[in-house]
Amino acid sequence: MKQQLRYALDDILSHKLNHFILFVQVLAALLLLSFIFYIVLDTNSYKNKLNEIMQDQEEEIYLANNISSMEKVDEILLGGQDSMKRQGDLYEFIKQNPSFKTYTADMQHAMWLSESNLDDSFVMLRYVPNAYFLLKIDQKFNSVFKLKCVKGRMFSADDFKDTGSKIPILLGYDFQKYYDLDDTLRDDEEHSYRVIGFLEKSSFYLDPGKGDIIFWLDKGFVVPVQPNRFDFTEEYESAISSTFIITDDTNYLQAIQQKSNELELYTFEYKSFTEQLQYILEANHFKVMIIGFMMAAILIFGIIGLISNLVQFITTHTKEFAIHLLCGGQVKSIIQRILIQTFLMILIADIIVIIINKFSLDTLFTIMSSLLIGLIVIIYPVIMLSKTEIKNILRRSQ
Amino acid sequence: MSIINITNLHKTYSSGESEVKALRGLSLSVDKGNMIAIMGPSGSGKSTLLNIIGCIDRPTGGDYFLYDRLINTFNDGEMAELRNQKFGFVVQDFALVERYSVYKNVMIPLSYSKKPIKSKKDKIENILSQLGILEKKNAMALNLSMGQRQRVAIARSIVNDPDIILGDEPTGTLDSDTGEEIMNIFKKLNENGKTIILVTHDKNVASYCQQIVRIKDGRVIK
Repeated sequence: MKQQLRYALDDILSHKLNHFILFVQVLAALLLLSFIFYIVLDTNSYKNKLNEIMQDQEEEIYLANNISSMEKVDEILLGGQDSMKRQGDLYEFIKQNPSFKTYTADMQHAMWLSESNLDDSFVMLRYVPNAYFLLKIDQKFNSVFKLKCVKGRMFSADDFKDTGSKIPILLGYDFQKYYDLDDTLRDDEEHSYRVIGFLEKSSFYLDPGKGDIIFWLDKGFVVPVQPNRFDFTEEYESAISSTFIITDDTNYLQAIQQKSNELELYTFEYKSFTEQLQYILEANHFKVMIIGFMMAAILIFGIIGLISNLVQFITTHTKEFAIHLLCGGQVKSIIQRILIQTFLMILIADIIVIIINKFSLDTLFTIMSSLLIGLIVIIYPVIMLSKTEIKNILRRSQ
Repeated sequence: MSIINITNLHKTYSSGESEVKALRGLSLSVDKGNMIAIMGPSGSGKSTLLNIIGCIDRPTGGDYFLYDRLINTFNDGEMAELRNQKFGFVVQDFALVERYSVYKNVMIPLSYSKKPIKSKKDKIENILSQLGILEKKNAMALNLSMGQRQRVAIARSIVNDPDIILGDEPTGTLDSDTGEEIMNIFKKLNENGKTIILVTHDKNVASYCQQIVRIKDGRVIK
C-alpha cells in the first residue's frame, strides 16, 4: 500500500497541470456543494426552531415593517417632546390593548461596555470593539420564547420598571467564566447593570423579519425594556418597530395603523411569521437552485475529466502495468494505485473544505458526497482493469 | 533434482467461436541449475509455455508442478508472489519503464517483495556494479543503449534473488557483440546456481545452453 502510494504520487507529479486543473474543479464543486448543504441544513434548522415557537401559539404572530418614508421618520425622530408623547401613546395603545397579545424584542441596539476583558468571540462585529449583542425584551417575551436561567433568575415584573437603581441584566451561558451573579457592568452612557442570571446553553431568539438567522444568546446580553427610562425618540421608534402582534384578526393590525395615522406617526406593513417563513424558504430554494446549477455544471465536467484522465492513464501506461505485474504486482495493486490517485485529490479538497467551513454537519455531508463522487469516478476504470487478465495486458503492451 | 515438472500440458485460447490450441499435451522437466533453450518455429507454443512456467498464464489442462507444488490451483495472489520470489523475467524489448531511472526500474520487484531486505539501496547498487552499469544508476531508461537496457532488465530480474530466470528472445534486438555479452551474463548466472530457461530462435544463443527443447505444434519433439 505504501509503495502504491509512492507510485500514485509519482503519477500525479508526472502530470501536474492536468491533475491541478481537475483538483480545482473538484474543490470548486465541493465548496459549492458544502454551501448548498449549509443553506439546506440551516433553513431546515431555522424552520424547526420557528415551528417550535409557533406551535405553542394559538394565534398567528405578526411582525411590523416600518415602511414610512425617510423624511417622515426624520420628522418624527426630530419632533422633540411632542413626538415622544405621540410615540408613547402609540406604544401604550399597542401594549395595553386587551384585544390582542404582543411581545417586544428589540435588537436594534448594541451593548457598548465601557470596559471589558471578554475575548474576541463575544464581539458582535470584528471591526467594532466593545460592542456586544444586546436584546431588549418586555415582560411578555418569555411567554413565547420561554428562556430559562441556568444560574440566577429571569426578569420579574418589577424589573421592567425604572426604579432608578441598576438595570437588571441577563447574560448568555458563555459569560459565566467572566462574570458572577450581582456583578456590575457599565456601558459607555454610564448606565449600570446588575447581573441577575445566566441563560441556559443554546438559548436563542428568532426574528423572521431579519432573515433565516438564529440569534444564539450564549454570547449575548438581555435587558428589560423600560419605557419610562426612554430618553430619545429613537428608543420609542425602535420599541414600536420591534413589537410583535399575536392575533388571528387582522382588523386589529388595521386598528394599530389607524391609531398611528391619527397620531401622525409611522406607516406599517404587517407580515405574519408563516408568510415570512414561506418567503425565506422560497428565497433559499432559489439560491439552492442557482448554486446547484453551477455546482452540477462544474461537477459534471470534473467527473468526466477525472474518468477520462484515468482511462487515458490506464491506456497509456499499459506497458508500465505489465512490467509491474511481471515483477510480482497484481491487478489489485494497480487498482489501489488508481484509487489512491483519485482519493488523494478528493481528500485534499475535503481538507480544504474542512479548513474553510470548520467541521459541521454540512461539512460531513460534503465529505460523504465527495466519497460518492470518488466512487462514481473510479467505477468504470476499475471495472476496465479488473476485467483484464495479466497475459492480455502483457500482450497489449508488446 | 527437477524443480519444474510439466505433464500433458494443454492450453487453448478461445476467441469467439474459434479456438487456438497453443499447447497439446506438452511434458517437460527442468532440473535445478540447468540452462535450457526452448526452440521452435513461430506459433509453436514457446512463449505460451514460458508464460505458464512464469505463472503469467494458466494451463487449460495437464499439471504444472513447481518445487512439487501443483501451480494449477494457485490463486492470483499466490501466482504474483511466485513471479516476485521465484522468477526473474528478461524479454526481447527489455520491458523497462522508460520514465523511471535505472535505480527505480530495478527497485520494482523489491517494492512487491514481502521478504525483509536490510538495505534495498545497497542491494541494487551491488547488482548494478556487478553488471557494470552502476554509473548509470540515475539515468533514465530511455537514455540508455540497447545493451545497457538489457543489463538493467537482467539486474531487475535477479534483484529479488530468484531461482529461475526466464528469457524470451533476450538477445533478439541486440547486435551480435552485445548479444554475446548478455549471454555471458546468463552463463555466469547459471554458474552461480540459477536455473535459466530461454526461448529463442537463435542457434548461437542455444549453444550456451546445456539442454535444448524443441517444440512444434504445442508438443516437445525432442
